[in-house]
Amino acid sequence: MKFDRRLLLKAAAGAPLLSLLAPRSALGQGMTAPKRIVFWFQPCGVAHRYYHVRPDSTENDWGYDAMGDLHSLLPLVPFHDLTTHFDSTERVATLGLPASDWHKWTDNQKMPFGLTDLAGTAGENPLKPRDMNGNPTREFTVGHESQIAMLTGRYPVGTVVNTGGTPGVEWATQGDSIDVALGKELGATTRFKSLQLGLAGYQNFGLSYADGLRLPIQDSPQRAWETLFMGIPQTPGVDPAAEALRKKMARRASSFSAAYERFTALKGGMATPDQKRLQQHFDAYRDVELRLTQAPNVNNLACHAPMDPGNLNLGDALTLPARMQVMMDQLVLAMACDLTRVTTITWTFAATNQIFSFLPGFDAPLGMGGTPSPDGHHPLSHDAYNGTDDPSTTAQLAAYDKLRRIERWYAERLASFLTALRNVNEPDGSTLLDNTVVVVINEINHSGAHNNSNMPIRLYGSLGGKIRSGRYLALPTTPLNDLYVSLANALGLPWTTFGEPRFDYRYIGGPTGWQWVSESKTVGPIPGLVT
Amino acid sequence: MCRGAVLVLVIGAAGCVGNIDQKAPNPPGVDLAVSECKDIEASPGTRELQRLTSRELDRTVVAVLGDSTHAYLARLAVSDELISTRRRYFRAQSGTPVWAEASVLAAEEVSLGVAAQAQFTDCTGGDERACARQLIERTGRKLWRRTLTTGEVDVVLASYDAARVEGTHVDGIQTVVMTLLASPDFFFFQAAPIDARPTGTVLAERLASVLWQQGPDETLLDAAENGSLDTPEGFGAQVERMLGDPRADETFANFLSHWLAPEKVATIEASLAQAARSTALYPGFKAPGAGADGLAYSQALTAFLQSEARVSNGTFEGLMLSKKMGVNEAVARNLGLAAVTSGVELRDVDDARRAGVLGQPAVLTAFGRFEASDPVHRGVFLLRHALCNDVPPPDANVNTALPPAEDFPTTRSRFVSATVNTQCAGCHSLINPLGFAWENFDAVGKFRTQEGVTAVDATANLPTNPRADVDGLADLARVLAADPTVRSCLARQFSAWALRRQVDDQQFCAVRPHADGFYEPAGPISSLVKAVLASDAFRAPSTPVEVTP
Repeated sequence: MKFDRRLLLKAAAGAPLLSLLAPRSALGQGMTAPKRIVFWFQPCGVAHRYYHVRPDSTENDWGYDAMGDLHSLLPLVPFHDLTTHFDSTERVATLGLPASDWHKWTDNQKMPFGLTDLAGTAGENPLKPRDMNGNPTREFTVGHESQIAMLTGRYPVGTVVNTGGTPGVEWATQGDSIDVALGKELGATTRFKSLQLGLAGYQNFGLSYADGLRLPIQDSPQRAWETLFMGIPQTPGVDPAAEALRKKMARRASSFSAAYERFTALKGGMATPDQKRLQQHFDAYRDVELRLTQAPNVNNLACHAPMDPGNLNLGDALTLPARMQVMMDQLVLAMACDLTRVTTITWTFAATNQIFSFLPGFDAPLGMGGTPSPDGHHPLSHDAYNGTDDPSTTAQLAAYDKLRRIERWYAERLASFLTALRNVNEPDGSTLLDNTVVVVINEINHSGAHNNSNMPIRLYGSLGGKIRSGRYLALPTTPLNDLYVSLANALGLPWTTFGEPRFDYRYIGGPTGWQWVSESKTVGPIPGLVT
Repeated sequence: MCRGAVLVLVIGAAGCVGNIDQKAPNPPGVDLAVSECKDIEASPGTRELQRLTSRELDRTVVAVLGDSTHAYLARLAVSDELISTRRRYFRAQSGTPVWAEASVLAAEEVSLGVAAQAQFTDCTGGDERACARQLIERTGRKLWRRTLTTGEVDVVLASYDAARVEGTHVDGIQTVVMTLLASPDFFFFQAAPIDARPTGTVLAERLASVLWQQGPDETLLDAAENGSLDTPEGFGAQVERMLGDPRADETFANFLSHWLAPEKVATIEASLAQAARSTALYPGFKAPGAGADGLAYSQALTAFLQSEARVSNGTFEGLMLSKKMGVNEAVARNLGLAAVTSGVELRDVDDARRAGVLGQPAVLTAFGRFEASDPVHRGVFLLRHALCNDVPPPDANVNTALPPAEDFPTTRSRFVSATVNTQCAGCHSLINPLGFAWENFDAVGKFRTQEGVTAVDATANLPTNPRADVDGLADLARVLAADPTVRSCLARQFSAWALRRQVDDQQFCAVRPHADGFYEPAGPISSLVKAVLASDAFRAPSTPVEVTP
């Protein structure tokens, strides 16, 4: 049995202990804690030498070779039994894909392998001719950009635009991303159907979409705090500001009703496309009305608001660790309060130039001749490879080591997040971690090859045993949609498919690359991932 | 294996996949002044119902209600959208829950500030409900950018009555202001009539948005509602009046701030806020954070733009060739110039090879990298933003790691070596000359003639049409300032920015015939602005279309 330490301190400090403890017995009986999912995005691929399992690993007997404490994922070893580490059968067969295969990949001469972002990498390019059978030639989009369809699992639709120079293609994402789709199913009673948090409001590419509409990311810890915890006291059950807030919320409610009248009046005189846009905004208002006008029902003892994090400088690299910590702390409490069951948390963004000057040695000259290193994450991820080959020069090796240390740093943060989840009790006596799965995602695999096969995806958590965790899973070519179906199943949803229902790919060779063929893979759950 | 340095550009235009030899672009530019729009049918394009951007909402609220907290900018900037992945200019049209919450909370925050000011709440000796009605009529007209009907006033007044059930008159006023701001009439543009030219307040709010990035002032509203704005003379008079106002200069500078932004940031200010430099090479350059030199640089740039690129009397030539530079404490310190007494001074340039906007330390720094200088990103900027050539990013399998600096006497020789391979040479034959001409300036904008013991070589044969030999930045700026391709490129981008949508060839050709003045030697900036306002893209009846988000 675990207790929230902060809660106990508060209780000891004079909060009415009995009223605090009363709901526990009432709610602890027969109440099943909700299942939750967190998508944890970190960018720019991985430093391969320090990412994979040790070569002799099998499905149930696996681990990381510490390599003298260099392996990126060592901080996550304590969560071995809750981990699902994905890999491809092919890499296992060759014990580390040889560099020549990365060349083949970039030359479109290699089949996708392992968990693959098929939707994101291959949409029909309207500038390319169809093949002799009239089928679209599925061309790769450039690596990082593929994330616009990574979570939707649907091919983006390309339109040719000509703005005075060479014609280009604008890609439009289709449908709901998996987080939004899950939120619609799981979030009916929560304050947020799904939540998108991050460290940078400006993103190169979208990740979460609602019906093709790119969702903004909340990057301000203070705004997130206000959004999440409005009406939730810092001490459970004790809220001196409750009455003032109730009045404030009532005034908001009257503004909402007036605004709805205005929406309706304006809509009357409008053309249909304008009406649809107005309706979209009306729906967005409806979506937030309840949480802005009514304090939430809190039914978990561990639920309380954290402190106002204050105004942290979002542009300053030195505040990045603090902002990340605040976001994680807030997310843990938001889950404890059951404010949301689906969250995507985006650490920086794809192809970011984020600098890591808070890590020792990241703003200092390198050993050789004092050449300073460009420390932006994306430049580093390229400098770390010799093209698609492994690093060889001193500068490349130094960049590679920095890339490893960035990933190690993220792994440490993830371990602390999982620990925090484990330290919070649910009303039924289980812990948050027991009822949560964290899905680690990345827009690419290999930053030199911009490779979207064998995506570096890991799961942490078993959702109360639904996910057969503690395993190393080497998969044949598998679309991400299969994983999404399995995750939905683990969360209790009887989905049989998600996104594109079929992935029809086959390597033909030559300049045409992948071809669309009729016999193909039908999307469905990954066999054996979920009980 | 090819070595290049286009790190940032590895992502981006989708046209980059495949054999680089096949898509190596030809040198850009034909004689645009003659042939541009000759064989292209002009089309005004379609329009979409849009919201005002966070900047426009903020400026409106500040002007009408005096909000010193800039709640709209702080809360809603995250909901602005880029008009495309390839153009950084903003629009705002998608309604998401994040937007909705920010919208209501910004309205509340501003209204609480209003409720604390006696000028809005005083109702000495009067009928409080009548005072509230008056406030709605007076303030509502400025916020909704049109006179409210009695029925509309009643809808807002109903929220006053609701607030009075358990609150004071001040609570009621707060609620009224919140309601005015939270209503779609405030944050949406008025929908243009179908199959008719936009007139009256519909036209006025668009005009004010392009020229001032805020709602119309009372003079413009009066002209819109008494019909004078709908006459050519009345429209012209309002345009002249508004172009002469400092708000027009602020607005054009905001456009330039987007134009000058490197890839992956929205504005040059955003780039400079993150500007980090090697402490070994630039020990005096203050890192990102409070008091950062990057931020001070952007203030110096603003001073330059507000003097040399004013809409009222500025010219394209002045923007490109001015012999002035903005200098403040940070610039003086990093460039080794004489100290400033206070604030920003507009001085003569320190060397004849520094010229125009490209020579401002902020611009030189925004496209600098961690190391000595960055000819590739500087060149790509000119190619994409000044010449409108969408040079593709390098192939995914191109090794973009640079060879060690110590193996080369100069930055230039290092980049030449890194891009000489046939796989890179196609694009870099365009990129490199445009970047090498900046080589007299290091990554914090300091003038230099030597790199170590080696003389800097800033000569280049530019891939313009016709090709031009230049020596240094001032020479480069002179060639670009005389090149109609560059004017056309800026005009295209201004059109996209002002119209808030992708502007393709056909749509640009609706603007181009009105812009001849901008293509004349001096090229008044106002003639470009007026061209957009005179075009069918801005004035003609248009059909609303549904555009997928």
